[in-house]
Amino acid sequence: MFNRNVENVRLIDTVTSRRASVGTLYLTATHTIFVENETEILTETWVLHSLVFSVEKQASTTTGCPLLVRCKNFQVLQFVIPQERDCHDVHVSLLHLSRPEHYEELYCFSYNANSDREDRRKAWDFINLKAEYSRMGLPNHLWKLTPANHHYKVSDTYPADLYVPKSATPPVIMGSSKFRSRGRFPTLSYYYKENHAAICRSSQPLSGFSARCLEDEQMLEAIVRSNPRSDFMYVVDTRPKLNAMANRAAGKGYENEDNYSNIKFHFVGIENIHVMRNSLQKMLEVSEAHFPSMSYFLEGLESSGWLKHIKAVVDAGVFITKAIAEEGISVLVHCSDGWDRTAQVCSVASVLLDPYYRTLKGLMVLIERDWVSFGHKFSHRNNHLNGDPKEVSPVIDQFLECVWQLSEQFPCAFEYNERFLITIHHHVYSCQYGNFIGNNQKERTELGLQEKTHSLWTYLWKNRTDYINPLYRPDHSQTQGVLRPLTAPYCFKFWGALYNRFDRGIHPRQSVMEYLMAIREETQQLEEQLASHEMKILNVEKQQKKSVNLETNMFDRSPAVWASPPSNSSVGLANTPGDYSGLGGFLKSPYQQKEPENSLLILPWPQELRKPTDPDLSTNGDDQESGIAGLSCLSPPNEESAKDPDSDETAYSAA
Amino acid sequence: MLHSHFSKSHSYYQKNTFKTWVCPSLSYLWPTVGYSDQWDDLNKRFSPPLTAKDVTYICPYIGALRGTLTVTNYRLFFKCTDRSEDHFPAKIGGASSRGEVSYGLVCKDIRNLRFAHKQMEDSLRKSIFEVLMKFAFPVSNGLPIFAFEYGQVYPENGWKVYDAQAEYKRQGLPNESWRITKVNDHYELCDTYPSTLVVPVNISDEELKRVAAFRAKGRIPVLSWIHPESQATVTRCSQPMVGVNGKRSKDDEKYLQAIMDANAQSHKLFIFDARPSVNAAANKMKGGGYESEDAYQNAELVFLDIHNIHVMRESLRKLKEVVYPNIEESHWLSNLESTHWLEHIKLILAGALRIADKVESGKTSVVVHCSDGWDRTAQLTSLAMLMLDGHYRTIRGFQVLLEKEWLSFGHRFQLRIGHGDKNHTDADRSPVFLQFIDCVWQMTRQFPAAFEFNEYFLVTTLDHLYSCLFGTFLCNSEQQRVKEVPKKTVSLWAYINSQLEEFTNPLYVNYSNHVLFPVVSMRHLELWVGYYIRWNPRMRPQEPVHQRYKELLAKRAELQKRVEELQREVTNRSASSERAGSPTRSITPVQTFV
Repeated sequence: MFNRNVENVRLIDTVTSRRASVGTLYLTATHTIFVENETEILTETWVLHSLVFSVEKQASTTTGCPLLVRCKNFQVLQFVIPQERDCHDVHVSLLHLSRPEHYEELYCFSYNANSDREDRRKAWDFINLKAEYSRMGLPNHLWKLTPANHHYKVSDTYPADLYVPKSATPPVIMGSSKFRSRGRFPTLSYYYKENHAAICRSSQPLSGFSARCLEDEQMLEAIVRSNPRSDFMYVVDTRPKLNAMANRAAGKGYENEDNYSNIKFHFVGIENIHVMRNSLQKMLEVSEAHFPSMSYFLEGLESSGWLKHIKAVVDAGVFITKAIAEEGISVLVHCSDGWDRTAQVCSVASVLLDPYYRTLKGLMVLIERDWVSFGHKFSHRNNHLNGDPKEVSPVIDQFLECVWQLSEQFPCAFEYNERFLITIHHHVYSCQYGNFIGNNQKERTELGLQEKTHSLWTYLWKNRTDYINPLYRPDHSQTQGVLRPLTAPYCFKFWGALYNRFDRGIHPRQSVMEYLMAIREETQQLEEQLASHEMKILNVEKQQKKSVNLETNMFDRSPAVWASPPSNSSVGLANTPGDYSGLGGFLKSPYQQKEPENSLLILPWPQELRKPTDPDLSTNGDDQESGIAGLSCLSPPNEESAKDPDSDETAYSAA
Repeated sequence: MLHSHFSKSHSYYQKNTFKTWVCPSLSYLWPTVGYSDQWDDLNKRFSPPLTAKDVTYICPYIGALRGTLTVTNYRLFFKCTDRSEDHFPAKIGGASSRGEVSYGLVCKDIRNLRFAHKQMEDSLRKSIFEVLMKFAFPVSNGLPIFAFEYGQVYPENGWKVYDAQAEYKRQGLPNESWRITKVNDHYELCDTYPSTLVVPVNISDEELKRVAAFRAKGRIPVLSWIHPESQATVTRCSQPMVGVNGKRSKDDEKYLQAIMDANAQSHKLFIFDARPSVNAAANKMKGGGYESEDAYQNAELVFLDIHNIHVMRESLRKLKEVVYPNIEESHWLSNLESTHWLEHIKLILAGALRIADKVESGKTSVVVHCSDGWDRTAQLTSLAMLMLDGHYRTIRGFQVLLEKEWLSFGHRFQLRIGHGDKNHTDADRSPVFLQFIDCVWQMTRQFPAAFEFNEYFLVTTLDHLYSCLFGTFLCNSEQQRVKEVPKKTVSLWAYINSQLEEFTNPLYVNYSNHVLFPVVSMRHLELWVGYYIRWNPRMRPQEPVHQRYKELLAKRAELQKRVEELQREVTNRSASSERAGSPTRSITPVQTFV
C-alpha cells in the first residue's frame, strides 16, 4: 500500500551543500530507496524506515520542496522533491512508516523470514547466559541460582534466572523485592573469581524519608557475607545526590547508612535520561556544522556536556573496578529503576575488570547480560515503536562510546575494532535483528523473537574478520587483567567515526586501522599461499613419482579475493576536499592520467584485498548517498551484497 | 626580569636557551627512567661540572625529589638520589620556608622547573647561580654556543644533506624558462637569501637588482618549486614597497609577468599574501604593502589571514599556561579554544592547501609572500611543497626542505628562538617553526603511511631547535652560517641519519607520486599532546603501539619472503617435471604493494 515512487528528486550532499544527484525516490514497506538516474551505473541509497529519527518538511523553494530525513545512525539526507504535494505525501508516509504501532510491523519480522527455522533457533543459542555465569564460576558455595523470578512473578522486568547469595532465603528475596522499585531486588551482575567480590545491581529502595525493610537489610547483609574477605560493601547510587533526594519525596530514595549495617554509601552523579538526550542533541548540532570555526566546535562540544557525561560513566566504572579488584569489596549499584545508568556502570566496570569482555564474544555476552536480560528498555530508549519521545535516550550509545574511549586509551587490549562498536550501534536501532526488540525478557519471550527473527550475534560472528582489531595482543601483560584508564577530561575525544559516520569529507584520508587490517588479512592469505605452495611441492613430488597432474585442484585453494578485479580499489576514494573554504569540487592529481584509480588519495594498502562486506557500515564512507561515491560502484556486485540484499543503504551496482 | 638574589620569595629567572636535550632527557626529572649512555657521557666530557648535593627538585607531578644538581656548559642535570618522601616537608610550598632558597627555570620546551635547597655556603650557592646564568645564556655572556664545543663525530656528515644545485637539478632546473643565477653569490643582492637562486630566463641580473629595490629587504621573487608536468611554480618573496602613495615598479611588474609566462598552462598568476588584509594595508604606512591588481595584470591577490609573530607568541604563551604543569580539569576544551593555537594551525594549513591546490589543480603559478617573507612565507611554501612533492616526505627529503625553505632562505632562527640570549622578552621571539612542525604532525595524522619519518623525528627536531647541541639552527641566514658553522659544529642531520631506524615510520609506503590534500577542518585538527603535554606523566600513552606495528609488518615481510622462496621452488620443480606449471599464478600478488 505504501509502494510508491517520486521522480526527479534531488539528493543534496549535506557536507558540501553543493553537489546534488537526481533520481527516483521509492518508498517500500521497509526501506526508503533513492536511485540515482544520471550516472551510468546505478547508485542506490537505502534507508531503513526503522532508522529514521525524524522527517522534517521545510519551506518550499522555486526548485522544489525540501525534505530533511535524520536517522538514528546519524545519517542526514536532504531530498528536494519537485512537487509540494508529492513531498507532503512522502512526508506523511515516512512518518507513518518510521513509527510503527506494533512490534509485528518491525523489520526483523520480515527480514529473511524464509530461512530455516531450526537454523535460526540454533543461532540464538550462540550466546548463552548460563554458560556465562558458569564461566564466572557460578553457582558456587557463595552464590546460587534462584528460581524466585521464574514466570517473572517477582519482577516482570528482570530475567527469569537470577543469582543471589547462598544465604538469601525466598522470604528475604520476596521482602526485598517489595521494598525496591518495580521489584528489582539486589542480584548478581558480575562475580570476580579471584577474590570473591561481586558487582550486584538493583533499583532504588522505597525508603522515602524513613521507611525500613528488614528483608532488604538482610539481603544486603547476605551480599556482604557472600564475600568472605570483607566485612562491608559499597552501595553506589549512580544518580546525582539531588535527584536521589527528590525521589525520597515520592516514597523512593536511597539507603540510609544507619539502617544497613556494614554499607558505605556513595553517589556518583550521572545525569538522567532527559539530560543525556538533550546533550546528544546539542553535540549533534555541533557535529553537523559544515565549516565549524574553532571556537564554535570546541565550545559547542564542551557546552553540550556530552564528553563530561561519558567521563562520569567511566569514572563510576573505575570506582567500582577499584573497589572490586583492589579492595576486594563487593558493590551494589543502582539508580532509580536500575536499567539505564546501572546497566552502563556495571558493564563498563566489567569491561575494565575482565579481559573476556574485551573480546568479540565477550562484548556480545556482556550486552546480553547487563542490557538485554536485565531489562534495559530498548524499545522505549531507541524509539522502535511510535512511543513517548520523553522515554528516548542514548543510554546504550553512551556505553558503546565508553568502550570506544577505552579502546583509544588501550589500543592493544581489545579484540574488536571501532567498526564492531559502530555496527552494534547501528543494529541496536535498525530493528533488523530481534536482539534489541522489546523492553525486557518477558516481552521478548511473548513476542517469540527467537522463533521469528534472527540474532545479530551470529551475523557478527560470521563476519568477525571485519571486526578484529589488528593491534590486539591477547598475550600481553598490559592487555590482560584490570584496565586503569585515565579519566581527565582531555582524555575523552569526540568520536567522529560514529557521529560523522556519513560525512565522508570529514574522515581521515588514511586510516591506520584499515591499513593494518589489510596487512593482517594479507598475512593470513600469505599463510594460505604458503600452505598451498607446500601442497604443490608435495604434489609435484608425487607427480614426479606417479605422473599424475593434481595441479588444478591446488589453485582452487588460492584465496578467492585475488580473483576480484582491481577496480575494487576505488573504495575510499570518495572523500571530498570540501571541508575547507574557498575550494570547490575535486582536487586532482597530475598523475591522474597515469593512475586514474588512485588519483586523489594515497591508498597505500592493497585495495585488492579489501572485501567490501557490509558496505553500509564502512566508516570510510563507501555508503552511497551521493554521486561522488559512484566510483566504488565500479565493482561488480560482490558475494557479500548478493548474500545480503536486504541490508540497508547498500549501494551496489546493477551493471 | 632576572632576579639574581636568592630571596625568600620565589625568584624565577628565565632559562632561555637553557640547554635541554632530547627525549632521554626525561631521565633527569624522573630518575627511575634510564637515560642513554650517550647523553650521560656528555655530562662527563664537556663539563667543568659544578655539582650541588641535597637539592630538591619540586616536580609538579610527583612532588619533591631530592638529588644532585649538576650544571655543565651544556645543560643542567638533576639526578635523584632518594625518592622517599619522608625527607621532605609535607607541603611543597615549603620551598619558600625559612632557610631554603628556591629558583625556577622557564624552559623553551614548555616546561618550568623549580629547585630548592637548604642554605649552603655562600660560595657554592653563588656559583651555582652564576654558572647557570653563564651557560644558559652564553651569547649574553660572550661565550660560544655549546654546538661549537660539541665535536662529536658521526658516520655521516650532515652538512652534505643539502646541495642547492642538486636539489634544483632534481626538480629539472635549469630549463628553458628558468635559470640559476649567480647574482647573489656573495649575498650582494640580498643578504638574507641563499647564494643560489632560480629566476625566469628572460630577466637579466641587472633587472633583478632593480626588482630587489622594490621588494622589502631585497627579497625578490625566486622559485621554490616547479611542477614536474605543468611547469606551474611556487615562488616566494617579500612584500612590494608600495607605500601610501601606491608606488609602482615596471621592473617588478615585468618580473611577475615573466613568472606567469614561464608556465604555458595558465594565463593567470596567483599572489598569496599570508597576512590578514588589514595588516597588509597597515604595512603601507611603513612603505610596504601589497600588489594592486591594476598594476599587475592577470594577477589575482589572495589574503590568507595568518597572524603575525606577536600574535603567535602570545598564543603559545597561553597554550603553555593551559597545559603546563597541570591541566585544569573543568573547561578543558574552552580553555584550549581560548589560546587560539589550533585556529592558527588551521589557517596556516588552509593557506598551504590553497597554494598546493592552485598549483596542482589549477596548474597556475603562485607567488607567496608576507611582510619580509621569512616567517609565514616559509611556513606556507614548505607545507605546500610537502603536499605537492613526495620527495619531501622522506626523511632526507624533509631535511632538504628545511635546509632549503627555512635555513637557506633566511628564517631568522637566532632571533626567533634567541639561542643563548638572556633577553627572553625580545619581541622578535616567535614559535613560527614550531607551528610549521605542528602542521606537519597534523598532516602525518591524516596520512599515516605517507611520511617516512615518525613523530619522534619531529619531536627530536624541535628539541634540537632549542638545544644548541648541533649547529643546524644557529644564525639567521645562510650568509651568517656559511663560513663558521659547518666547519665547527655538527649538523643535526648527522645525528639523525646515523640512526635512521629510530626515526622511521613503520607504516611508510612510498607514494611519492601523490599529492596530499589534508582536510583542514576543526574536527580533524587536534592538539599535539605528544609534544605539548609530553612532560605530564599522565599523558603518556597507556600502550605504545609502534612496536606492534613493526611486529605486524615484520610478520608479513617474513611470510612474503617464504612464499616467494616456495614459489620459486614450485616453478623450478614444475619446470623440471616437464609439466606446463601454472603461468597464470606466477606473479605473486604481494609484490604489487610492497
